[in-house]
Amino acid sequence: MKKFMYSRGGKAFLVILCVLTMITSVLSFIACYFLYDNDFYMLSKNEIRERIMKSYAIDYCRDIYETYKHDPVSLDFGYNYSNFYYTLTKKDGEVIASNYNGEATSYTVTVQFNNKYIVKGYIPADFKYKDELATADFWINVGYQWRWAVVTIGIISVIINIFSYSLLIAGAGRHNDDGGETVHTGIIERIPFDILSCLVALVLVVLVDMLDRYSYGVEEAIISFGAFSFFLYIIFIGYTTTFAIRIKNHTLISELFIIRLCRKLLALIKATGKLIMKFVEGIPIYWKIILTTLLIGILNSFIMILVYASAAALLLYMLFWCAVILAVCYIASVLKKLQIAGERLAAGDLTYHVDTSRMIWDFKRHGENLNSISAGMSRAVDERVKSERFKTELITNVSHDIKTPLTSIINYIDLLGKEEEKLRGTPCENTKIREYTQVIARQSARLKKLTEDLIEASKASTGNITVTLEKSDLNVLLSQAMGEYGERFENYGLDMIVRMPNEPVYIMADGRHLFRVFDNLMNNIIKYAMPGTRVYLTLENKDGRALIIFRNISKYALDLAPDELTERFVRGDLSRNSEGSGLGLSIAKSLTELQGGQFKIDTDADLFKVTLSFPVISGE
Amino acid sequence: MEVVVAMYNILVCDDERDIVSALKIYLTAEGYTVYEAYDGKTALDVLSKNDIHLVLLDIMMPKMDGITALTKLREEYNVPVILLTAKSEDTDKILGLNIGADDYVTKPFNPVELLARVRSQLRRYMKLGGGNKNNAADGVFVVGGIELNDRTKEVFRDGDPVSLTPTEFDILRLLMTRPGEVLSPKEIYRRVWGDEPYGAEGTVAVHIRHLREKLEINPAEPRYLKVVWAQGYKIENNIYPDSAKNVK
Repeated sequence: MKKFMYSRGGKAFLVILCVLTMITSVLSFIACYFLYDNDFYMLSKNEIRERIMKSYAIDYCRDIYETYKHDPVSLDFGYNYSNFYYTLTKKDGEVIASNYNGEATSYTVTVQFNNKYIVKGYIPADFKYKDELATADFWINVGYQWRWAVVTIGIISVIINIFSYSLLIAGAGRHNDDGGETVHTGIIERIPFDILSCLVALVLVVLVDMLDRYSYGVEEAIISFGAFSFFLYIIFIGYTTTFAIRIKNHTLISELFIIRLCRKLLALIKATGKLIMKFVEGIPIYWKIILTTLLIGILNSFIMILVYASAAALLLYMLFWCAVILAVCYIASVLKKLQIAGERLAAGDLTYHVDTSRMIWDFKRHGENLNSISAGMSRAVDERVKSERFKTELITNVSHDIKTPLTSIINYIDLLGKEEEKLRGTPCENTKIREYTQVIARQSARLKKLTEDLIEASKASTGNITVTLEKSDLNVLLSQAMGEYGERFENYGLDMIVRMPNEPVYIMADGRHLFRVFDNLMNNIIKYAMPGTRVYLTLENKDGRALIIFRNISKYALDLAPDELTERFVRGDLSRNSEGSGLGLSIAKSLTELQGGQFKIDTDADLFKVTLSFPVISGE
Repeated sequence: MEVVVAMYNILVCDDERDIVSALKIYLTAEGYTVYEAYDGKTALDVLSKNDIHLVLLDIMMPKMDGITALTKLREEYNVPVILLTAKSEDTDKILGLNIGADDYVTKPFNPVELLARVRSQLRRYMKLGGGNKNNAADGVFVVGGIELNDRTKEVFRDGDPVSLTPTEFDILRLLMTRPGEVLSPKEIYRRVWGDEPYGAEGTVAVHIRHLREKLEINPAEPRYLKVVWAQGYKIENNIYPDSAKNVK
């Protein structure tokens, strides 16, 4: 079916079929109307025949009376070879004229004129001559016989017409070459649809004009009307086909000449606008402002003059100022946007982006500059974070690499010590060897501690460490620390005094990191506290913050500022003789801050005080 | 049950030859026979040819690293493996233990500690076998290498008796009956002393420290008796995670 629809032959056949069925359906419609008008569908054949024959008879009777009145002589010739018979009598019964010879008749009519004359008409049972009556009789017979057939033919024609027309429209623009995949267009489709419509309308006007001109008689009128209808139908098929193709193509609206014209015009206006904008953009900002002010002043005076001339210009005046106010509002809003962007950038929000799509000229330039500042700055920050991470990685890797040779050093020093032990008491005993190996052993142990601290410090300071915050009881932590360090404190001649509230104090912290902070601070105290003094460890719950305070008396004079003490590799004794890496306080500070706490060092003469502060959470 | 140490063969595998020789000196001095390997492949070779009782395995090695070697090794053998590693991060330790190491020592290590760990592993492997065989009815609790007998009031570490004070014993028994559970110092005080602490829970910490010094090879890095800071104390019940799973 599709193949047929898409083929050229099929289309031609469908067109012909369309036209033919259209003709038959129109004709049968006319015939139907005619038959219906004469009651063919309601009365019997004899009744129809009687009515028609009688109406003919009455017409003839009138004709006879009229002829008698105006030209009585010609009366004798009029109906000599007619099937119609008549008798014209006066009212009193006198026969004036007659051609009736007493034949059998089927219908008789009697018509009276002016109350003086009576015409009797007879329609015979058989027709001798081929006149109007015989023809009418013939057509009555045919019409009656075909009255239903005409209806059927009409309906079938209409159905076929609609069907073939639908196929034609469905197949429009499809070809068999590609299985009807794409829509093909012809020459007609190159003409924009609105132009085509105008052409069709023009053709219609010409056709109607011709129809008017060539319709003198009835027959001519019928023929020319038929021809007109035929052409009209052909044009209709072509017009709807191209319409269908355009619909399938989606080019109906977009390819309209008016739309194309509008598009071209719009592009032209846009280009001009751009040119003007570009020109204005090139003007320096001072000139822009001066020229704008001047322009507003000039326009204002001009409109004022107009107002003098006519009061209607007052409306123009108001419109003008409305436009000026709108422009000022626009400038204000843009300035506000730029100001916000500047503030956000100044506050360090580098992700802030100004929307410059609605800005013009210098504003746009300024907005874009702000955006590029933020982009550049975020890039710089990213790079710094990256380099910081790289540094951490470097330190970690280097420390790992140091550990391997260090392992050998520590092991062989140990072995050396053992060898030295074997020599004791023998003549080869050398106390200097013992002393030196001990120094190496001590220093390599320090190196070991230093590498470990180094890794930890670099991780803690860059936050490159996992922190799992849990609800932690500081009282428990303090008592644990006391248990861990109490004895060592005593060994070093330090007296630890712990003060804490009776109620538990809870904070959110990572227990392991928190202990690492404690460990560093405790070791720091052991290293630097003056033997024989007291060390105070206090826990306070003050204003919603838990304060853990470590206080001790320093062994060395504290010449450094408190902030400097947490710098990496800074140590209380500038001589650097004692053990320790100098990273302890730095690590403690970083770890405290990673857990959301604060780390503060105060020094007052020889009093060394560290305060850890964490927000307290409820016990629940 | 005197151990004839000379019977044990130990494989030392490290790409650093000096470390291997040092370890050889220490281990030979203790009476062990030492086999040497300098990469993972050779280690597997040696293992297949000799009757090895313990492996000391470095992680970062050429040809085949320690982790790969350990994975392959565990497909066939269930000898104790102690990892030697320069990486001290927790994730590395957990990874090592997860794929079947029995213990680990971080570089630079203390020779004495390493020897103690070797001894502990050998004893466990040769004598005791692994696994928790808690039998509360007998009053015997075992966690890793620690065994506590409530009837005889004896405690063994890797089969060696450990002498504890009565308080230390009570604390250990309390923790061992509830392995893996964190007990706060207050709770421990209440249970062991049978009294309200009233600020005396600091005592618990001191006892725990003593207990740790007696039970742990390296008290600074406890494997059994763990301090959970700002929470309490617990006995780690999952010391060698998944190692048993890989043994065929």
